[in-house]
Amino acid sequence: MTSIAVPGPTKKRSSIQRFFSDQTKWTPYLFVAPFFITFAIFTLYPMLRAVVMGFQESLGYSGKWDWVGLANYREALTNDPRMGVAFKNFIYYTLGSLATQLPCAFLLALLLTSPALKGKGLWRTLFFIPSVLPGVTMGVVGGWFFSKTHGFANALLVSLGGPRIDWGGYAQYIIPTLLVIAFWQWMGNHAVFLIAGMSGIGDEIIEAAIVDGASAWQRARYIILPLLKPVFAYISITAAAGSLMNFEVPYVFLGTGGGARGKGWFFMTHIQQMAFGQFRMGYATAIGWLVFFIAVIITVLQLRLYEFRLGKEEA
Amino acid sequence: MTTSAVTRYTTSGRGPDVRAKIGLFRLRAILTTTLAAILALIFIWPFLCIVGSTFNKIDAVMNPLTPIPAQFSTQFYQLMVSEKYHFQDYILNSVWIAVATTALSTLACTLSGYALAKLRFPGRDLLFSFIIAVMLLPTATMLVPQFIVMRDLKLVNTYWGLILPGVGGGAFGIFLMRQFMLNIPTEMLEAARMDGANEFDLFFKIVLPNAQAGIGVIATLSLRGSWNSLLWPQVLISDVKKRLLMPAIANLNQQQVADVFALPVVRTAAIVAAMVPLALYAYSQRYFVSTLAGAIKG
Repeated sequence: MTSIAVPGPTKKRSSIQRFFSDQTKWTPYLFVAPFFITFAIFTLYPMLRAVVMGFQESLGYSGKWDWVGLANYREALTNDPRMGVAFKNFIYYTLGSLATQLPCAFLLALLLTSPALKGKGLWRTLFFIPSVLPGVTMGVVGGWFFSKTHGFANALLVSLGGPRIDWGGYAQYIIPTLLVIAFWQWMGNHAVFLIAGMSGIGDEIIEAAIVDGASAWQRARYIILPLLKPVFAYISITAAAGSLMNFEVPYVFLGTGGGARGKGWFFMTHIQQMAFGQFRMGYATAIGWLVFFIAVIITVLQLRLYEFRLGKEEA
Repeated sequence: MTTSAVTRYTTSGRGPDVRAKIGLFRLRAILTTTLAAILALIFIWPFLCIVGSTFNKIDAVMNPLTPIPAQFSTQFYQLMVSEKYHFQDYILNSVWIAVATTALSTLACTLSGYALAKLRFPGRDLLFSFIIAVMLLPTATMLVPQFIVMRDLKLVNTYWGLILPGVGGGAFGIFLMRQFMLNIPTEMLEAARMDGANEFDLFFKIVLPNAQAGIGVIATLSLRGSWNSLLWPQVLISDVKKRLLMPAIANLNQQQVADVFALPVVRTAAIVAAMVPLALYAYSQRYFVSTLAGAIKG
């Protein structure tokens, strides 16, 4: 009996011993441990918890959870007008951002890569700077810029003989003012990425075009623009995903209410309000999953769009 | 793009035709540089104006279109750090959290990035694919469940609740760090092992010195992320004494109706808050843009 029982443990112990005596075997686990332990507790576990929470509802702050099935999702999709508002605002804000920022970023990138330009680094830095600033600062600057009584925009309008506008008071101004702030924050950043993409275009391609007699405009339109398509894809995919998470600027600029007639109401504002204003944790989690699905869908759509165009260009 | 063509002319010939071309190039240099300068000035001007407004005297009327204060004074800065507004405390809290988060998450990222790129061990690829999968999950989805976990672990209203998710949430940092580590030649590590270096010597004496650019980028991103973040510290910390700078600015901004000084103090604090990422960018700019640009180009 003992002769059978003994080899088991000793063999097991020896394999553990072997594991710990060979440093190359256990150090990898030691090295990944700090990240993966915190990752498991604070990212992986909450993610799994979120799957369950989407089907639950908490009663106030009590910590008790009731299973409600698909009720959260049904409510968010069919019976929550603020979800519709958030979706519409997201669409306007994203399309508006891309339509204003991308063409200007491209023109700026052309200007800042012009061989005749002096002090390239300085100009790039100046245009890039707003994108590293905190969202809170951008919200405060926006609030000052569009202030009714002592703001920059109204002072400019009045000095040009125009009227004083209550930017925050009227629903139709809210998305445009947010687009101005977003333009100021992100356009230079996009231009810097486009410049990086341009540096990857070989000089010989451009020189061949010059020899063939292509004008500066023709080179920009028919050679540089098509070759930058991957960079445009990257920018518009990350910008769309970013505006899906749009929170800080509208929150600081417009306050918790989302501005006049909810025009500044975005998905993150809604989640924050549902979870920490009304303590509907399960419902807020369900909205979080819907936002994730929207992110996946718009990313896939854009990937297809850009790939399709790329394919057409090559054919 | 036309540089090479033009410089070839300038070095090779001296005819009148060529001189005209050089003149044209100089003219274009002046025009494009002036255009860039004007655009940059328009772009930066409102920011200069709001910075100027924070140096205005409290009761002096200032034109918002100019960055020069009507009467120079640092009253708003004194008010900001006064007993009434306490921004010195919020700034210190934010500095402490940003430094702690950055130090811990950079260390964790560097260790893991090295192990995932250069060491072989069972389960490595599984771990890495886990990170990539979770990297795709947005804040929108994670905010509420993370808060619930914090509540269960009694970490609401504690600084650990701010720091630890930063350490384990830097999936992008791991991804970037692994890419950096792949550039370190494996032969170098093997040679050191042959010479009798143990695994810790390898990491501290060979990997760390060779990964400085990567560590710089990760630390910059982590510091900026922690310093700039509003939503997570806003929902997690309700104790006024422990409040961080960004939520403090947002909160005071929403209480401005009752207090005439609140708005100028908010602006002053927002400008001070912007100084940290600005300084960080100025310091790390050299490798920062090129590294990120390289990452998307590849």
